[in-house]
Amino acid sequence: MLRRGLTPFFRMTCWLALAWFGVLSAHAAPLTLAAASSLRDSMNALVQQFEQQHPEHPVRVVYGSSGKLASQIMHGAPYDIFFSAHADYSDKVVAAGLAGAPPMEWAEGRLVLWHPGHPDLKPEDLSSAAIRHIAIAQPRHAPYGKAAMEVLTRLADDQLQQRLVFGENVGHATQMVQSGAAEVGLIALSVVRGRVLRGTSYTEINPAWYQPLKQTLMLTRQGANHASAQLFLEYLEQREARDLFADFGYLPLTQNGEPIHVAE
Amino acid sequence: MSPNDWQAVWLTLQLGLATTVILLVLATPLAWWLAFSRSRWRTPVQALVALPLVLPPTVLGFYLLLLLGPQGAVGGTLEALGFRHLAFSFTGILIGSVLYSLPFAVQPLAESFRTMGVRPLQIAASLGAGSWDRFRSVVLPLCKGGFIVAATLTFAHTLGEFGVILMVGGSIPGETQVLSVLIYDHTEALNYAAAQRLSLGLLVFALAVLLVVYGFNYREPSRQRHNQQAEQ
Repeated sequence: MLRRGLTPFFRMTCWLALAWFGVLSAHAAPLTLAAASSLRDSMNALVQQFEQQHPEHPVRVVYGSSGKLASQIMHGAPYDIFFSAHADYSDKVVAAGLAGAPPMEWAEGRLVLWHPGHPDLKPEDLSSAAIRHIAIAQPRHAPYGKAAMEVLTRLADDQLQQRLVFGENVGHATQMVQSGAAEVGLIALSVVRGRVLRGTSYTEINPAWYQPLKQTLMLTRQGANHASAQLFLEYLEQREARDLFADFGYLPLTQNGEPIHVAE
Repeated sequence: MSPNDWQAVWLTLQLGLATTVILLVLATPLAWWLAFSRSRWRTPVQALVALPLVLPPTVLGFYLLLLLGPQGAVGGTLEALGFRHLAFSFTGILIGSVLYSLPFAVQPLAESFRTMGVRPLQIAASLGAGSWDRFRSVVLPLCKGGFIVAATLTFAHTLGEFGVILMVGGSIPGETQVLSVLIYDHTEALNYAAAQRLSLGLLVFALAVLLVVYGFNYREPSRQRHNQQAEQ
């Protein structure tokens, strides 16, 4: 009885295995972007536009803190273009000999204080007893976390250090506030202008209080051989792409790398 | 559900099925040896097999990343031979899953082999059955429950894997972004509705699998007792 029961099972397993290897080897990998978490909603919107205009060039995006993505590239991750929220991390990839082209600064990001339950909160009010947890991204590998630490150091209140909770990246830190676990977060302007949080109130942090968050983009050594990479990079130069990022609060840069302030 | 979600469901099923098939093939001889061997290596091997139960997934993931990556012993050798290294690839997370779920395949099998004992095999051999025939017509039917429990637990445990896959695989859609990793990604994107849907699906599925496993565990011993009484 068992013989009859098992033979078709083995046969089916073999066919499944064959079909599965067929599926795996059939198609070339889509263009793979590695992008800082702060870019998530804007990049998703951009990729959607790009794919509408170029349906024959599929794109997939992996999000994470810039430091984690850089470390993954150095461990051999198959990313074609790397969007870092700070030049430090694209420079690391260059130093490891894994760049396909020099990194390019393309916009400047901004840090904001997001405080869903506390309207009109200013950075100085973080010392108030009502604020028990301040969510920031992990400063060791997330540029927005590092900028947040610079702001907190400037506020010179030792109490604040004990209220810090660390997200793996700016998206994770945002989620800590969104879930109510932390009262406030020091996160990216592009995130509070994102799909879910757009329209909520936030306070911009004085940009002089932290090192500028110059966004860089870079073709990786692997990406230099990808058929869609150049097309995507050209698309980024276009007006509609620039407008899209501006809409999420990114400041475009002049030739000298100075941010251009656009009237809203 | 978005196309990306379906892609992750399909990928997760592929990973679960491949892990289960590979592990049943590898774990059967290993479990047999653990059940009947009197070697002094038995205890160390038993400990090694159980290691993924207590080791943090990050430890396993970290070592695998170093081993399978372009500078690692395995990944570096592959690169030198002109192949791609295995970090951040489906094959990489498959290797991780096989190691991580090893005890879930080996332990139920070893347990059911031990319960069966060597006697039925000796009888079959005395009746002239060859080794393959003994396996097919004695071991498989007598230990059917053990095989089913091993397969379901392995499959279910692979679905529940997170840390190893995140470290070895990154989160590449269609390549290494399985359901557990996608749920994490959805929560980071504040996409709670999508995270909710997938989480609920996994919860129901996991419960169903455990019901199957416990259903078998409950039935098996009672039948064996019945058989023993009949023998007497």
